[in-house]
Amino acid sequence: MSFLVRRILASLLLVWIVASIVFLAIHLVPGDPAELLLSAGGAAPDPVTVAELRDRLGLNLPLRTQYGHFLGGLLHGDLGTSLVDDYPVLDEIALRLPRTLELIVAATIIALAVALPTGTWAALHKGSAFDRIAAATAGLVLAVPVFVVGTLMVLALAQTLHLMPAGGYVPLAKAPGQHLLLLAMPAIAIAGGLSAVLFRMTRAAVLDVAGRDFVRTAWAKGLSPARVQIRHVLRNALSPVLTVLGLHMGALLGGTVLVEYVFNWPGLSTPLLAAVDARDYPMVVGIVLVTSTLFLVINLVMDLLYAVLDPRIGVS
Amino acid sequence: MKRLAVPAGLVGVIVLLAIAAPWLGLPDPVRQDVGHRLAHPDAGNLLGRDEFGRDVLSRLIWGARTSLAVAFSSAAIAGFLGTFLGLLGGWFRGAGALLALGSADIILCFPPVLLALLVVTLLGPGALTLVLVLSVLFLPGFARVTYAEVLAVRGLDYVEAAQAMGATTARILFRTVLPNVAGPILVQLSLAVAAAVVLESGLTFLGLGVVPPSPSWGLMIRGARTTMEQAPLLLLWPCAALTATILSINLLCDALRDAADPRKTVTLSSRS
Amino acid sequence: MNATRRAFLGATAALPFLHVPARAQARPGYLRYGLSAFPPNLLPWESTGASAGTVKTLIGRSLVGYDKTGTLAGEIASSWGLDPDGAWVFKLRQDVVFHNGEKLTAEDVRWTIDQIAGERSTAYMRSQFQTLARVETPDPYTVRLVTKERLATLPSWFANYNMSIAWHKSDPKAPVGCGPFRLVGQERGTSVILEASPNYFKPGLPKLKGITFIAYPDENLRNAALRSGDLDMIEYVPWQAMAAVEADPRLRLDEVQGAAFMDVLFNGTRPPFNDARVRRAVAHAVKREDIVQAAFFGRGRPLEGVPIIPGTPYYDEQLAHGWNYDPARARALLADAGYARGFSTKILATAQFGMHKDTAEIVQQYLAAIGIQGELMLPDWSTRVSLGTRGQYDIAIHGVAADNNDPDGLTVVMDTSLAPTHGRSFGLKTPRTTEAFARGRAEFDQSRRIEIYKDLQRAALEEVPLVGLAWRSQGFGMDRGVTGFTNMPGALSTSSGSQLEVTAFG
Repeated sequence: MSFLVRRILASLLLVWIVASIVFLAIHLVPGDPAELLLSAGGAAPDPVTVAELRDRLGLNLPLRTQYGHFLGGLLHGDLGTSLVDDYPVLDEIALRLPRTLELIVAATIIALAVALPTGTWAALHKGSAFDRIAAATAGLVLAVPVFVVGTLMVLALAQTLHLMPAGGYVPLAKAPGQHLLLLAMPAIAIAGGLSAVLFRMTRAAVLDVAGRDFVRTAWAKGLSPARVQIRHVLRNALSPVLTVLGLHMGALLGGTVLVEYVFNWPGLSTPLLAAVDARDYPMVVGIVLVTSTLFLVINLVMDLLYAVLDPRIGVS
Repeated sequence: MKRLAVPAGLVGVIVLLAIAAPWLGLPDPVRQDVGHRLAHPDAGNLLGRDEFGRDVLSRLIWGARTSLAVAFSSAAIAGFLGTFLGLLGGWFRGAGALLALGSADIILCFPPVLLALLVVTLLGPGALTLVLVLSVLFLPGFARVTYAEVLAVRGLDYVEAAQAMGATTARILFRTVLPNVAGPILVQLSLAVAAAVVLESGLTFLGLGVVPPSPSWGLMIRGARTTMEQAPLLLLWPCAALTATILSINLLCDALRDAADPRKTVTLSSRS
Repeated sequence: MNATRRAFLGATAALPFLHVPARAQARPGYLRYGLSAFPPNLLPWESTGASAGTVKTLIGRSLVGYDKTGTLAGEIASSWGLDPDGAWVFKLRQDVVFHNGEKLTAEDVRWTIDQIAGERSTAYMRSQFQTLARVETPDPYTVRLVTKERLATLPSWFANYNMSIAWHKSDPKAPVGCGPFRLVGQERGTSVILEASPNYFKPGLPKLKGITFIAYPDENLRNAALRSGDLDMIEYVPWQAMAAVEADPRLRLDEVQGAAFMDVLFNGTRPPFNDARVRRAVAHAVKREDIVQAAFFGRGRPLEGVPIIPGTPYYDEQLAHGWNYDPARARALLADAGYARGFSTKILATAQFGMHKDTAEIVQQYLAAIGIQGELMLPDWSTRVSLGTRGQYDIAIHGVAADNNDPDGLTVVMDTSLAPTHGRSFGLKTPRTTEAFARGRAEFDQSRRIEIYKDLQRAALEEVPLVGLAWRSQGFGMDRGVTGFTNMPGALSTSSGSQLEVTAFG
């Protein structure tokens, strides 16, 4: 348990460092939130009104004081409010984070559903036509940028064939069918690249495990092929796949930006981009703080899962 | 080693094409001719012209120069620094390791796009900034891989033997330890190059990448997305170039992995 | 955060934030409208962009507005004019009611002006209203505005969409308006829902039961959502998609020329662009047709003079081409200024907006042809704004719309004596142009105004406060079932949102 406590403390320290770096960096970046807000759409604001707004937003305070306010708020679990419309940062995250997570989870499920069977099959039939075709497809999918895939999907399925809506979002409670339909396109777009990575990982891991002693022993004991393949091979091959998945889930937390943009999925990436554009300091820092915390939590959970799943680590 | 020849050859051809761009007799890749914008392929312009009437083939090959230069240099810088950090961390452990891996973890915590946004807005967009962003993004991967490998290697007999023979730490690290951990690092290197090519296009799409008019694949894709309905082929060419490059690099990466790890060559003669 | 800030900015947060769908289901009588950007906030008097303006003009109304031909027309004011003492007098309608049921009187107008001209105001029209000597309300339905100097253009101030009149006892966090629609819900960053106001002062309006605004920042997707039938109407149809919208039998494109224009701005605080000859060389160097084609897919027109809209009385065919494409002349002007061998410089634009980037690429090529080697600097928009306001550039590419179709509407882009902003040249001295604007504002006689603004064009052609590059068109795309909407002419296209009160289905 002391290991766990140490990990958590280290993670908290990391989160604080990351938040501070972002706080400093975003304040150093050129651009004045007050001026930008009043310049929306190319308007030319009167400098007097800009100065007035800066004063009201508390931007004329020394950076040290602003940082102090930020840390003080953080201790009370308050991430502050947006400079643009005074909307609480925490409320915005609470509304949108679940949608980004939903997208990531849906993409992961699709990717696993595709990658595990094909990867295992390809490994067990190494060198077959299936193996070669699957490998080539994986390479192809990995190489096309996700925003190109997304754009083509919208063009083909929504704009031309009218089979799918052109992006957007409806709450699950309001229209479940529509919700899933809207979820499908961005989830598939993300799942593409992810499944290619997982396919390669699964294939390699299964091949690796299949050659090990305990599998040979299982064969020798005369266990049925299905039993050997699933019980022994897949179960042992799963842990490296999970590690890779954990790493990628973390990356996806900030990596859904392009997909959310292309499909108008109102997740957490859109307000992050908008906040950076508007130099909405509290919003940027708040969102990064929450995503990096989440990233560390996922990593921690993955490590624990890894220990549970991998018999070798579990025993020792 | 024979398995290495084909993918290495493929990557070599792409790199050679990029390097040889100035001597291929191509039209000027930045010369505009708006009157002939979106022209179909013809004898003078084998792949047609883009939205400014520039020759697409020429931009594709010159774009490879930019895109690959960014990818290779960022992977190299990240690889060099990351390996160095990992070596030190793994060898000296204690405070050094904490520092090396801690800094790597800080980078991992950042959503990559945010990191790019921050760095690019601070320094202004351009190929050099892109190299910086990408190397920072890839650094933790190298540091972690090297660290893990060094930990595994440092207790082995031949390392201890070298120590007993009184070799200096630097000599042990670079002559004995490094060659033994080089395999995974090489694999990481090729992975980074492939990832960099894709990331370059994504960041350029967001306006955070290469600055026009110098051609890059990312810029070409971004431009072609606008004219997708008028000239769909313009989207195809850079995507195809990207795909071919990444496939070749992946092949090379797998071959390297096989070559680097003697145990896995037996069980994992992967071609995927 | 501090209390004043919360009080001030709380307006939108205090409004109901319902969780509304980002993709609306079709409901009879409700319009689904694709915005190009989510309104940063809906505070009535602060400028927060054209998309916000569209929503704001439906929630609140002002004394006057523009009709669909672009002519000033009464809204809350039934009539207005100059009294013998030179003050502007507005007579108000007596049947105007706020959304809360309170009657609108002159007191509300005075209160609104006080808020806008207030000491700590951040209103867009603040500086204009601070020039008023006083506001008088002789009776509950008359407002008398006394100006320090004669002002011909004052009524048009009220037609700006950042000028709606609010109830004088409003909570400053959430001013109450009197527009055709009420705000009933919004999800931050995603959608805004309006319902028809039952007590709107124009009988029979609005025709729609409500409007769901959904933000589609990606123009590709906004276009796809219209073409797939997800939306009934969108603003800013991407230029590359206009032909396809026109060709679609189910859809209609309402396109207006001259809505906005691209221009080149200069830093006049240092050589070489402090020399008007160098600026004129730039003006003659660029072949505008290429910009119209490459950046706007032909949906625009070359702009070779001061951006006076063709067809208005102030337009002069010859002056309008005073900066025609003439590279030989450009080179001669450079030589005359002592730069016969050219020079190197930096061109500031942004990579965030395709039209800015594309225009910059073409300008770069044509400047290179006369010996000016320009390196493109394409930071994000926010940095571009910051660098522009601080004068940290040599020349910059900009895109902008005038405030209205009167030449006085160009003051904000061309009067270099005003305080520095990213939308005007920096530190440039163009005294004759500035002086002509001042004369035009004070002149009431139409024929003399025409002469003044022709003088202004002559002065500007020599002083070069900016270089016009290309007009761009602005188009609304809609289902053919959507009727009654008109894209207003010229620079007023951006204000066309007010037309949604007469928009209907069928």
